[in-house]
Amino acid sequence: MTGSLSPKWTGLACLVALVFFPWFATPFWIVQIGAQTMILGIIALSLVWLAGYGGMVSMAQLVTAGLASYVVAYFGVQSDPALGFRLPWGLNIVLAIAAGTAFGIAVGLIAVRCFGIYMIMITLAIAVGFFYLARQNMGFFNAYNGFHGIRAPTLLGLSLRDPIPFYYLCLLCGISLFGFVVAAARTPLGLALQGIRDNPRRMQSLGYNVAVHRVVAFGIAGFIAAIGGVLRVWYAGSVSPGSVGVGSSISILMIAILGGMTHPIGAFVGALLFNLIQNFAIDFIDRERFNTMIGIILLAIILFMPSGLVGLVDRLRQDDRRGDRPPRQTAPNASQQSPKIKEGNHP
Amino acid sequence: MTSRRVFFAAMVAATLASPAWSQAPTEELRVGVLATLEGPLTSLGQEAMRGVRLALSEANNTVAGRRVTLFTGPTNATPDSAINAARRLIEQDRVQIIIGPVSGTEGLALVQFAKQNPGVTFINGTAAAPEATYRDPAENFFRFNADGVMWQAGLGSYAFQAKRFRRVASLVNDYSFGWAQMKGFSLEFCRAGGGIVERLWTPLGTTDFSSLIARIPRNIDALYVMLVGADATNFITQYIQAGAPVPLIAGTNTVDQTVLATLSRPRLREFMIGTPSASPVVDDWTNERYQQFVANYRRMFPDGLPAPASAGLGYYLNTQAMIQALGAVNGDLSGNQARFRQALASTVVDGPAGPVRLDENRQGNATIFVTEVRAAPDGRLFNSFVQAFPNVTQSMGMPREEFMRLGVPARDTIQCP
Repeated sequence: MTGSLSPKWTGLACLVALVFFPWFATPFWIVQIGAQTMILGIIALSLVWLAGYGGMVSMAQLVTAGLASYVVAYFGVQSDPALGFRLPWGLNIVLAIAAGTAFGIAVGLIAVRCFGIYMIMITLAIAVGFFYLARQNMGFFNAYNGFHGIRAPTLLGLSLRDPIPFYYLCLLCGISLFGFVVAAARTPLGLALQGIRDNPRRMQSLGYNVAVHRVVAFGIAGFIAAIGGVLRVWYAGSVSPGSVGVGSSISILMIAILGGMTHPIGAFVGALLFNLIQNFAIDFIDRERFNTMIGIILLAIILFMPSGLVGLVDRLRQDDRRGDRPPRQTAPNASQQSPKIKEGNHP
Repeated sequence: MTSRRVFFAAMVAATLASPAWSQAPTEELRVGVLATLEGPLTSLGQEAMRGVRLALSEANNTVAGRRVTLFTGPTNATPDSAINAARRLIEQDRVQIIIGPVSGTEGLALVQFAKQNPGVTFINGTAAAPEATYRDPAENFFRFNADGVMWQAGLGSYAFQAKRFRRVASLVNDYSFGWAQMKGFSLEFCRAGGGIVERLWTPLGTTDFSSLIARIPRNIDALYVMLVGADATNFITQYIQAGAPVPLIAGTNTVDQTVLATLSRPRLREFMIGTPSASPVVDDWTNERYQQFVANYRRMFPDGLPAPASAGLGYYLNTQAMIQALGAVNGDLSGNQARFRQALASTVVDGPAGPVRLDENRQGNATIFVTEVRAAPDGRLFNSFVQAFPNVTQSMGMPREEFMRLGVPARDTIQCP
């Protein structure tokens, strides 16, 4: 192939690379980089879904995942005998995902009337409140201690806590949810949501119930984040107030911004970049200063690539086309082409 | 087009090349140290690093002919930061032994993490939550320093009998180390006949204590304060600004040198004089071995604290244990470190305050001192020796079963209203 690769081929190549990656990587790369990227990507995906398609930036996505983590711990096997219930392992996952979805809907109900900066503020307030509750409450959150000794289950003789099975589990969840978001964006609900993002008043007058659509979007985001939360608690083996701190919430926003919110793939690209910076900045600079370096890199990316890495790739591709061949059909990063969506959505 | 290809090529190259960076098998001994180098316990983390470096320098940085390479895992006193740092040390720096952490809750998390990483040996730093070694201990987790309950040995009785405090209230950091210290203090204070009329709890990292100070009851003889690091400095300053209605009884870290050295104003210093505490370190004990330890510390760290604090001693003891045990097996870490661990379990550390040996749960005994804050002629504060309790065990001299029945340290473990 001499010309540029189409998105389809690039995607396929990435998929193949992701599937065969554990064959030639060390456990550090499989788990710390591979699996963790998928987990962070899934949580960021819930934010990209809300922000990219719904125009709603929620800071509460990480605590939604955190709640799911706490539910997995509280209703499963962990190290504190004084607290929690030992339900069979499948049940606590169902409960965790249900709790995350419900929490997402609840956040949506609270935040639904707010737009823009006010929505960021109210969801940030929820996140901060959740953190302080988790830190003080003994009965459910086990206060400062949190829960430890949580392990991924063994399924049909396959221990999901081993690096390779755990990586594939995360990969499977990541790809499924990515596909789910891409598909959901093309359903009537997804299209209506994008319409609401671009012009809520017009959608209202067309007969759409704006509030209900937005709350449902929050519920879906809660569902996605909850799956990320389940994987995250298995990855870390523990959950404590630090896991749901404001810093971590901001990291998720950072990941989404780094990757770009114009396409769901941005969540994973951002997560990979963020994860690499977090893990390797320390090798280039002394240990007491590496946070400064992370900050500078993030600042530079936001300054020079305002629409994230996905935006950069899009721009490169557009340059490409201009030189090579007549423009083809546009890539399915729907949210950038709002006029098209509105056409599709007119009755 | 070209630029995009370059971009992808660079990505691929980076992905392929980078695992190779972290693969260079060597003969050196790779040791990770977890220390709180961020957050409210930063001063303790820095002191902890001094303890490690002191012990290593006494051994010339070499154990059984192998050079020791240190890798630092910075944490911020939260359990998840400790787990992340430990994971990094193991998976990326490929350390064989981890020393640390500083903080109690970090320790509890690390014990569980140790169970999931049986190939690495964990030697504690100063984390002092008792449960780390008495409830569900890990095979590969060793603790040569005393726990938070043990550190308060003698304080309750001393406060009741010598200081004649009868009714006290408490203000304690709300996490496992605070609960442990509270249990250690109330164990003796309640038994002696004292009453703890109000228990105030505050999260680690509190900076504004005004609302808590307002809630301190008026009709008490003293306030038991167990705050760590920056919290202690902040509280003492604000308490004195608020008029300081009653004297203090201090938890171990509340008056150790990580805090006393930060009190520069004469009014603060004056008020703190006479404050009783209990600790594994004491600044003016005349014991020769102990004085040697203090002198070595001062020589090596002229910019360090005026005298080693409990964090320094804890890391020093645990590092020394590692050095002795590695020497005993000639640096042999093969067979999943089995021989090394066996040696570690039977190591008797020649500690500054007396020999330290482990019990069946791999928990060390300790000498604990009851101290009182005094001022040196130059005005700076130190903890003066009052009484020593050698060989304090984890069950505080009680039969183990009876001690276990008192319960795991929590907010309301031993009550005496």
